[in-house]
Amino acid sequence: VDVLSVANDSIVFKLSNCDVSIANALRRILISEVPTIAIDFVEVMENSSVLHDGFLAHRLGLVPLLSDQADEFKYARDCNCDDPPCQACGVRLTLDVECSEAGVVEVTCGDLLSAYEVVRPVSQASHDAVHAVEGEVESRGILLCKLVKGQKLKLECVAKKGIGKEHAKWSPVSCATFKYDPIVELNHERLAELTLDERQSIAKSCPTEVFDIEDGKLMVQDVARCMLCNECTRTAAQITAASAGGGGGGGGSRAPLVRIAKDERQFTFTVETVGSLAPKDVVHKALQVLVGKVKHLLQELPTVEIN
Amino acid sequence: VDARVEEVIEDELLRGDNRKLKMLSNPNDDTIATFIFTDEDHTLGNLLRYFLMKNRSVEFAGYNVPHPLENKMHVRVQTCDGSPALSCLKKALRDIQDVCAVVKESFNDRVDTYRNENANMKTD
Repeated sequence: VDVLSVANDSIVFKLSNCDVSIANALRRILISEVPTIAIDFVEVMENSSVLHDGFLAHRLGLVPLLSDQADEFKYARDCNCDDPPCQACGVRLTLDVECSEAGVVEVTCGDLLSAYEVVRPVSQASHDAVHAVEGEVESRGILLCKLVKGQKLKLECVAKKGIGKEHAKWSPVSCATFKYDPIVELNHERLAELTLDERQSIAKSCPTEVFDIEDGKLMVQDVARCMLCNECTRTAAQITAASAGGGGGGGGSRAPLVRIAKDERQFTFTVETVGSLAPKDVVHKALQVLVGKVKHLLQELPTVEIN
Repeated sequence: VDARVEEVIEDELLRGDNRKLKMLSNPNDDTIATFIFTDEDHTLGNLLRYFLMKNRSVEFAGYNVPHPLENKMHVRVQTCDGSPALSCLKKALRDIQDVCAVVKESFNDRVDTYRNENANMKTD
């Protein structure tokens, strides 16, 4: 593993010497099985805004809440409390906004007050830059609704622990991808037989500027930028076909001008989070989830029912 | 009272077949088995299949999800040297555990290194 870059809301790292199935399992878990906390139940006391109750409830569910303590909570279905939610399985949040003057009042998630300070909406306030989203202008939070004079919004929410599989609101990442590391090989011997124009056309055909012409020679400038699109191979093949013309019989047996391949054991992961968990925590928890799954299965093995 | 009894029966019916792992095989032949996992999908399936195939005594290893709406996953294992299918599965699971431990450690290490390097850069 090699970490390439860490930002407030994203992390790029390399995973090597692993099979694609491990990389894919990690990716799938990052998206759908890392537990977070999100609003799951909304009781509306008063709503005279333009948005109907269900609309607001949907938006509230999607608000990211700081979920570092997610592991300490129990799933609501596993909790034996009489009056859900209790301290251990849920957090209450309230929203009470009224517009009493002329003009528009914006109801944002900054107005959501949590009963348990640690679990509160992700915001960009400087003291709360724990998992702040980069590049955002200082604002009071995600806009939920706009109110005009005389409109009031009063509701109580309960946030619970869940995983992305059940509903996307519980997914801690906005984007979790991995790609194979590319291998680009140039056959300099054959490239020398081409004209400078032909070499330049190969370099230009690359949409991400992988190649460069130095001293008239075609060089690979930045392998990591290769998207494995094979545009350069196609251009090279066209050039070969054009110059071979009538004598195309021998062309097939020679080594290609440019060879693009993927390194099947090296992956570059890019994980972008939503703010509920820090990027390195998300990856760490995902690995924990995978380990937990396997452990659970190993425990179940001795009691397996045989038919 | 009746309602309460109904609830209990329904609960049992629902939970009855919900064992995490079931194994289907011929009682006379333990080298061939189909394992049925509940609440698992391609995430674990593909992983298990790969690690099972790495095992030299496994002749056949395949997984599938019979229906996307049902949270079940089947893994079929056939061995060629007489070793029981169950122990192959166990080995595969243990291998996955080892790999995960290595990746986790390596990841945490590297993140700390990266952090320290960058903290130093900032003070410079």
